[in-house]
Amino acid sequence: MIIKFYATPLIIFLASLLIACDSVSPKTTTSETNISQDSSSQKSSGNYVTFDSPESLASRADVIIVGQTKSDFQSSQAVSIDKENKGKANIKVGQSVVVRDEMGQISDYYTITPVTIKKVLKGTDTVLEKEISVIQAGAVVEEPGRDKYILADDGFSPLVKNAKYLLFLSKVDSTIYPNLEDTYSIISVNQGKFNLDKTDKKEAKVEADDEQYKNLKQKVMKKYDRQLDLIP
Amino acid sequence: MTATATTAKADSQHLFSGGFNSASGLNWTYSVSDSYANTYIVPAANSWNNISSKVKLNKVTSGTYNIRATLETTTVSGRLGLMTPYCTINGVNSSGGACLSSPWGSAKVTAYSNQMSAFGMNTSNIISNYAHEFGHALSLAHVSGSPSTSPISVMKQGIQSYLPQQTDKDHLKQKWGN
Repeated sequence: MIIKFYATPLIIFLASLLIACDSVSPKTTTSETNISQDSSSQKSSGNYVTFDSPESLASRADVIIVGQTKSDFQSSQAVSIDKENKGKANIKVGQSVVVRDEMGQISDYYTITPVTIKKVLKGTDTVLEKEISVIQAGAVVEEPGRDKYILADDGFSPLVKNAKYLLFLSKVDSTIYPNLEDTYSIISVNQGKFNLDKTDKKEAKVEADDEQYKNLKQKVMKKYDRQLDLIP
Repeated sequence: MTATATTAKADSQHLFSGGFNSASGLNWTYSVSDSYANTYIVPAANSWNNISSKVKLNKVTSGTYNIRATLETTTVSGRLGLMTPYCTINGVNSSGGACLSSPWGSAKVTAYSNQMSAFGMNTSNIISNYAHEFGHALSLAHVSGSPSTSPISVMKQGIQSYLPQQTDKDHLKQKWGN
């Protein structure tokens, strides 16, 4: 199938209507939704920055924390917005967002997860036990005519409910996304996420399969070993 | 086709089983300015030509196309690019990972301006980023492994200045033929 370079006005109108409806009435999933991370996850084919040292990773982080979430990634509420509203839409914590362009194709996707801070290693505006909004590089997606699925970058593993993590976070640029002020992104999909209590099986698999990530995690654990020892 | 000695792990793990039915005349277009396209995207797309007689990417500005290249922004720190294939599975329109083992109707290649800027990527880095995504559009998967032991490849994750290397050329021929 080959796309017509210029769609007919009718198709454009119908696509716009569909996208507009999506942004006005976000489709939702429920907490009962059971999406198998293994059977329904779809790796996207992209490119992200990799780091070879804890120092280079830390230099990119606005905040470094130990934290945990009480939320289940698979239960995130699926929302679709059009690109024109990427910086305007009222996105809430706990939502999975797919941003679609003028042709209805995927521009961006992410999930905002609440994370409770247990320890601050970098960042002056973060407070213990405060909840911060953290962007993960994957999203629960709902599309007409098919089962819900998880769209995620290669190497992605979601934050596991109640698991403890060392997180390197970068603040979202509020000049582009004023609607996401005070929201932080885990740096480079998996590069800024390290499970501390060995309860994240998906991350363990990434570690086993990806030598670059494995090497980075070993160096990070070694560098922050003393500070992490003090965490209850 | 037999993998050459210079190709580390030149097996199916470096290729998508799905993709376009043919790559001998894939038309691509862009949703950016002519100047931006000529500076960054044209060199990236052309870098995959003249490797295999079965692969030819043609820039078009009107008519029909298979691949559309864009420039957008992302909320995800460090995410530099994305390739999204589109297909029909059991009568349902699908995209992304669902299509990696199916025939594709079209594909979208995206680079993220805010992240490329935040990480200070230069012209060579940006061209390489687009070349990486065009490699995905030609059904090449990531090349991973230890930075010190794995082969040089434009299909590795990260900021690079490479265009297709011998490993990538071998993978391309493995997928499409000589």
